[in-house]
Amino acid sequence: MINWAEEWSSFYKQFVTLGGYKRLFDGLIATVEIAVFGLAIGIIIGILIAIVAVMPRYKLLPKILDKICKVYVAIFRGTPMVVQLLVGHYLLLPLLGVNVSGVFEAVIIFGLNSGAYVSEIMRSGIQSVDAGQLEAGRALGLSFWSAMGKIVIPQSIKNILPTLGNEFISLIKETSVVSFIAITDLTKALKLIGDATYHYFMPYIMLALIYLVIVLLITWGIKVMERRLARSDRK
Amino acid sequence: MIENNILDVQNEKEVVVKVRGLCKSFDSLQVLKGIDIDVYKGDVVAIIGPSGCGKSTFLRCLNCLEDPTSGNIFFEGEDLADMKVDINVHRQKMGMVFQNFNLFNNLTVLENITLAPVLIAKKNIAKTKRKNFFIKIGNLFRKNKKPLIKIEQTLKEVKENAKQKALDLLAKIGLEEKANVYPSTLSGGQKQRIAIVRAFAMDPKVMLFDEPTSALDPEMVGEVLDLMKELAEGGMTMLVVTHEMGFAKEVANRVIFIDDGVIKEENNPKEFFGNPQDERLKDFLAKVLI
Amino acid sequence: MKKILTLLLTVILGVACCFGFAGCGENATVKIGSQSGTTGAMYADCLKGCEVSYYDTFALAAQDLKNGKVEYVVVDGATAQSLKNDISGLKVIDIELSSEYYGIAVDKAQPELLSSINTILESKKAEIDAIIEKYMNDDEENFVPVASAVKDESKAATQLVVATNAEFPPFESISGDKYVGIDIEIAKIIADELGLELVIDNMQFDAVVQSIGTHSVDIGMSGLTITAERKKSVNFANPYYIESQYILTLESNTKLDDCMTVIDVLNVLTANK
Repeated sequence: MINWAEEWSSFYKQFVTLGGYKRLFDGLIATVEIAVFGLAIGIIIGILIAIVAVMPRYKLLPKILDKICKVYVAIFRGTPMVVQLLVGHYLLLPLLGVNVSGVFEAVIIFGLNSGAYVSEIMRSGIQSVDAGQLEAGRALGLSFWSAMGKIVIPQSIKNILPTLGNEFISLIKETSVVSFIAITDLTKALKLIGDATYHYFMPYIMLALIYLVIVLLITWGIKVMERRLARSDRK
Repeated sequence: MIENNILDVQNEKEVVVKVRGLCKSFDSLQVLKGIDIDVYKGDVVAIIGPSGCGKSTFLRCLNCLEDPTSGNIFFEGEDLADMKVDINVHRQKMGMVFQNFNLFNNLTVLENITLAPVLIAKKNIAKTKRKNFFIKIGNLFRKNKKPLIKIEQTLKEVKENAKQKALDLLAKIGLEEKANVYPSTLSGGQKQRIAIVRAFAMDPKVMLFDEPTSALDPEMVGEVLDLMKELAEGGMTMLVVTHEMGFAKEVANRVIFIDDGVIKEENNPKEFFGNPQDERLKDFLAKVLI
Repeated sequence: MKKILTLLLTVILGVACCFGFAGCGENATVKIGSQSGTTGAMYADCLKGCEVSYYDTFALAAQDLKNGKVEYVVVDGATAQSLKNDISGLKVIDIELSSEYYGIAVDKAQPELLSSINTILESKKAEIDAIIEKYMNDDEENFVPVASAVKDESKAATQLVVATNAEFPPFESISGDKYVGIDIEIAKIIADELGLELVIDNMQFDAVVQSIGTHSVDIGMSGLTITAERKKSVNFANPYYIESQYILTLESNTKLDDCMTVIDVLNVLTANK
C-alpha cells in the first residue's frame, strides 16, 4: 500500500534538500522552550500556592490569599489547555493591549496552567512531610518561610519528583496544541513538511520518534536526580 | 508592671519563665484551665500526669507552638502570649526536644545542629547591614555623624564557630564520627541525643523536653536520660514532661502533677513521691509505681 | 544539589524573561499570517526574511491581524473580500500576487467519477457561473443552504462524500446546521446529476487532500488550487474558477499603498533582508 521509495524520496527532498530540517529545529526549540519555561513558572507558582494552602490561618491575609489561589486552581484545572490558549490569545491579550511573541505567550499560559497542577502536587508533597519537621524548625526560632524553604520544601521535592516528572512529560506532549494560536512547534513543523508534499508517513514517524526520545531523556534525567536526592535515605 | 519583675525578692533567684492563668482550648475542648508557675534559673521541673491531661499542651504553649487562648507567659521581659511579640526571637532561647526527635531528614547531623544558628546569624547580619545602609544615607545629611552598627562576626566566622561548637558538642556525647551522616542511619537514642544537642547549641535559657524518651526502645532510654542529667548538673533550666519517674525523683528539683488542665500538686521530689496529698495523684502514683 | 537546582531555575527564568522582551522588540521581521496548507501559506513561506504564522482558519489569521500579532495575511481574493466585509478595519491590497485555478479534487481510484464530473461541469456551466456570480455579489437572499446526509460505509455506492473545510467563505462555510457556499452548491448539483446522496465531510483544510489520497472520501471541494504537488495524490477535474492571492492588512497600514506591481509588494515585504 505504501510506496516506501516515494515516501522516502519526497521526505528527503523536503527535509534535506529544501531545508525542512531548519523548520524542524525551530519547532523543536519552541516545544522545549514552552515546556521547560512553562514548568519553571509552574513550579514557582505551585510552591507559592502550596505554601499558602498550608499556611497557618490566624490572620486575614492568608485567608484571602487562599481563596484567590483556590479560584485560580479551579479555573486552570477546570478548563482545557486549548481553551486557555484561545482565550488568552484571542481575548485577553487584545484586551490588555500587549504584544508579545507567540512563544512567550504560550510559556506564560502553560506556566499558569501547570502552576495549578503543580500546586496540588506540591501541597500533597508538603503534607507528606511530617508536621514535626516544621515544628522543630519553628521551635529553633526559624521563621515560617525559612523553615519551609530549608526543611519542608526540600523534603517534599524529593517525595514529589516522580510526579513532577510526569507533569513535565505531559507538558511536553501537550505543547502540541500551541498550533491553535499559530505557533510552529515540533508537531506543526513536521506537519508542514508533510503538507508540502502530501506524504505524511515519514514526517509523522519522525515526529513520534522525537517525542519518544525527549520523554525517555526526561525519564532518565529524573531517575538521576532521584538517585542524588535519595542520599539522605541511604542506610 | 509588678507581675513581670525578673527578680523574685523572696528567693532572690532569677525567674526565667513566669506563667500566669494560662488557658488553652481546642475549639470547644478546654485543655488547660489556668496554669500558674514560676520557673527559676537552674530549676529542673518534671511534669507528670495521666495522658490527655494537657501536660504536653502546656509545654507547647510555652514557646507558642500552640497559641495560648488566654493568660500570660513572661520570658525575657516580654509576654509571649501577646501576638505582637516576635516569637521567633524568643524561641531561639527556648530549646525544645520532641518525642519523635524531629531531626531534619534532609540535612546531615552537623547541618541539623548548625542550620538554625547560621540562618539566624545570617538574618541578623543582613538586618544590621540594612540598618547601616540607612544610617549611611542619613549621615549624608547629618552634622554629627551617627556611628555605624558594628557587625561582630562575619558570616564566615559564624559558620566556622557554629561548626566547631557542633563538633565539640558531638564529641562530648561521643557521636563526632556521625557528623556527616543523615539522621535516617541513626538509632533512636542517637537521634534524641543529637536533637538535645541541636537545641543546646542555641545557648537556650530554658529547655523544654516533651516526653523525650517515650518513643525510644527501652535500652536507649538510659543514654538520653544520662545526657539530660548532665545538662541539669551543668545548671540548665529545664521543663521535662516525662513518664520516667526515676528521672523525676533523681534529677528534678521540683515535680508538678497536672490533671484536668490545672496543676494539682507541686513539691520537691521527696515529698511529692513520699507524701502525696492529692487523691488523683495518689491514684496515679499507685498505678505507675508498681 | 539544591544550589544547582536553584541556579538552574534562575537561569531558566532569566532566559524566559529575555525571550519575552526580545519578543516585544521583535518588530524588525515582517510577520505574515495564513491558513496552514493553503496556497497563501505556501506563498508567504517563499518570502525571504518573513516570519510566517500558520493558522487553522483564515478567520483566526484575520483576527490576529486585527490584534496586531501579524501585519499581513496572504489569502485568496474572494475570501479576502469576505473577511474585509465581516471584520472592520481591514483592507485588501488590490494587487494580484499570483493567478491560480480552483479545481475539484477526485480520488485517483475513481477515474470514471472524474470524467462524469468533467461532463457535468461542462453541461451545467451556466448554472455554476450563476452560483459564483451570486456569491461574489454577496447576494445573501439567494444563498441555498445544503444539508449533509450522514456518512454510511454500507451505502458507499449511493453516496457522494465531499471533503471540505467549511471555514472559507464564500466557497464554503457553515450556516446553522447546514452548509453554504459556491463549492457546496456545485457539489449539490454534481450529486444530483449523478443521482447520489450528498455527504459533506467537514475537516481541517490540510486533511482534505490527504483524505482523498487515502480514498476515505470521493472528492474534495474546498477552494482547492490545482498544484503539481497535490496532483501527485489526487486527480483534478477541469478548473471552475480562476482566483488570485491577495494581501489583507489593517486599514491603518500604509506601507503597501504606493505599490503598483507584485514586485513592489515583494520589495516592501522583504525589504529588511
